[in-house]
Amino acid sequence: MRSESLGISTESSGSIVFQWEDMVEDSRLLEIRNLVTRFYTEEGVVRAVDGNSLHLDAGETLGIVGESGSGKTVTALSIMGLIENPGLIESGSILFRGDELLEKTQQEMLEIRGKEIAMVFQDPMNSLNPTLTVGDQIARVLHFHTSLSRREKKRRAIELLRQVEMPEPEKRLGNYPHQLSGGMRQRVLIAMAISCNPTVVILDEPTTALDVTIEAQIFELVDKLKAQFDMGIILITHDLAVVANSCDRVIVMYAGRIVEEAPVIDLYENPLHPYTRGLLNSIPQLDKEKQERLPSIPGEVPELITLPEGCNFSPRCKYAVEKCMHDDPPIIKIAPGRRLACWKAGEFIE
Amino acid sequence: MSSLNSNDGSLVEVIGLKKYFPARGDWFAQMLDRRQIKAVDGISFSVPTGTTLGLVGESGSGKTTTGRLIARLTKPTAGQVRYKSKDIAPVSGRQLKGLRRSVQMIFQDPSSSLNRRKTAGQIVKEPLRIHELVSKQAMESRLVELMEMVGLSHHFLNRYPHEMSGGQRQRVGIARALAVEPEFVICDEPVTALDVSIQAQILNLLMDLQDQLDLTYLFIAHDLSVVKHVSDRVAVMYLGKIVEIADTDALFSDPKHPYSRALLGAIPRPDPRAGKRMVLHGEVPSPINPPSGCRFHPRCPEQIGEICWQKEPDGITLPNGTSVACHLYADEGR
Repeated sequence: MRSESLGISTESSGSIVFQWEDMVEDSRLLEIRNLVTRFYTEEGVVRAVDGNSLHLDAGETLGIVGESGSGKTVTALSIMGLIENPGLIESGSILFRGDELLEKTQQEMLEIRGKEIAMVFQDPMNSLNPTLTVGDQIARVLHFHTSLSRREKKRRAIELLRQVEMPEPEKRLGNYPHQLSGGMRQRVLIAMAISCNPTVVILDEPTTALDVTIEAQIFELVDKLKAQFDMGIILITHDLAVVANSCDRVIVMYAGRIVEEAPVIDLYENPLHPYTRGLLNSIPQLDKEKQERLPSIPGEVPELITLPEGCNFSPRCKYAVEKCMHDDPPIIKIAPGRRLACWKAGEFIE
Repeated sequence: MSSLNSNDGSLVEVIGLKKYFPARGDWFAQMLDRRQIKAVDGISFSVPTGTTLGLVGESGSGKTTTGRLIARLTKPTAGQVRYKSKDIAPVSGRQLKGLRRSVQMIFQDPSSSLNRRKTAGQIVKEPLRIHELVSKQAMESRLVELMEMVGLSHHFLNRYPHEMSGGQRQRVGIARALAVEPEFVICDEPVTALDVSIQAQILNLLMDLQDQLDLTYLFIAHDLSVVKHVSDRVAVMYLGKIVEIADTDALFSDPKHPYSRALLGAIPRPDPRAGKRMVLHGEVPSPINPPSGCRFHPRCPEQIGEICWQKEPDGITLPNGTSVACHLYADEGR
């Protein structure tokens, strides 16, 4: 096989892993290094993203999972250049195809947003303008990034709605958001996101507000579009089941920090961080025998203003030792594609 | 779904229950537009004492309205809700107040179901005061007892909802519901608004309390994994109708109704090797003008022909005790 000579190996999951060095460089869409984003509120400094590094390659779906306050959405907003007062990106670097985004002007970011990097937000009702028809909203995005004529824009809008499998696209063009169902609204947002063929699409809890059968439809669509346009996708969610189904690689965040990163199969078959393990154990599972009690993680997610000393998870961690309460564990590479921030990591790997 | 034989140990029995809402809000619009939203359209089931009936369905299926009808927060258009064999639809006044003691509700979003201007102590005290259950002297110790029962220390009595986390607020909501020592508790999506790591805590708490206090639950949720974990029996609703009622194990190992199958197939598994999700096409139609015949027929992957859009299927009880409303099983009734 020719793919053999290129160093492409096909994993059991069906995803293709490039091992050829040059190819990695070429396919790297996003590279975030030591990103620190804070919010200076009256109550104190919120350490929303606390020194995280991650990357995204073309054609892959990266899942970022975490509970509320884990910093997953702020990470996305930092990439989009949408952090506003009292928030501030304090340090770090966000490279888009090798180009530093943090040095871009507002005007330059406007060009990149929507055209190169697009984002779909959680609540489709609040991210659509209630006073504009679907057609007008899509036309606005096209007007901003392209030089299409009125008629061309309309034709493109219908084409986009067809791509996102909207029923009766010509008719829907004249509808207002309130006339659409939740699933249809999310389709409109996805149509707007892909309207300028972006290379990176960030989906922030895209289906949390939707029913499960509609959620399955949306993810089927996302998979299809990803293959069609060779985009890199970042999927932000709290739902570990959704991640297992649609991501190639997963990052787990807790209280502003990345605590674990792994290829999707490894994360579910061999979770290492005590938080990841706790989360996976605590969700009721359809395919497992009914348990009397769910193993739950004790305590609550800490406030980002008053983070505990040492490892953020240490107050809830059943493996925590003295060192965990005082020293912050750095995130270290423990295997190809796997990173972990835990002092007890050595014991789990054996 | 007919299990009309009463006195089979059922605490709550629902018979042919219907609730229609006008499609328009104000009276003038109603004059012009007499259409009705058939939120619940003739459902029957029973909940035996000490058990949990799970009620699942997507948005618009009528599951929340069913819960509100049983709690008598709204009056049925037709049909009966029998509590201990007595129809509660016509009760009012003193009797209704008595019913409120026996039937309580835990709501989805603890931040909007708790009064922001009151402390946890005042919130839990209110039902005790209204029902005159505890003397002034004994109040403090009863409040502490209730808080401990839901896993909160007495310090929380003086806290306002905004000073608590989502999980703690839901614990207060549970304490308020249990303060009047109800027998039947309707849990309406009690963990949906909570973080994943907190959901397990609350589910464990609800199950512990059921054992301790011998409670009977109606557990309403859209998350089938959660429902499987807590329920003895599960009813699946679609567009105002119950399409299947089965023992939990039977439903999850061998779902009968095509909609139940589709719903189960659509759920993502936390397992990357689980394979693709089943995709059910189309959306839930409008409850104002539901499809003819079987309401699921426009989306049904297992349609058998004319009968599906011409005749509404009756509930058929299968040999394993599952009750299913689908023409596929017309010849298999017990």
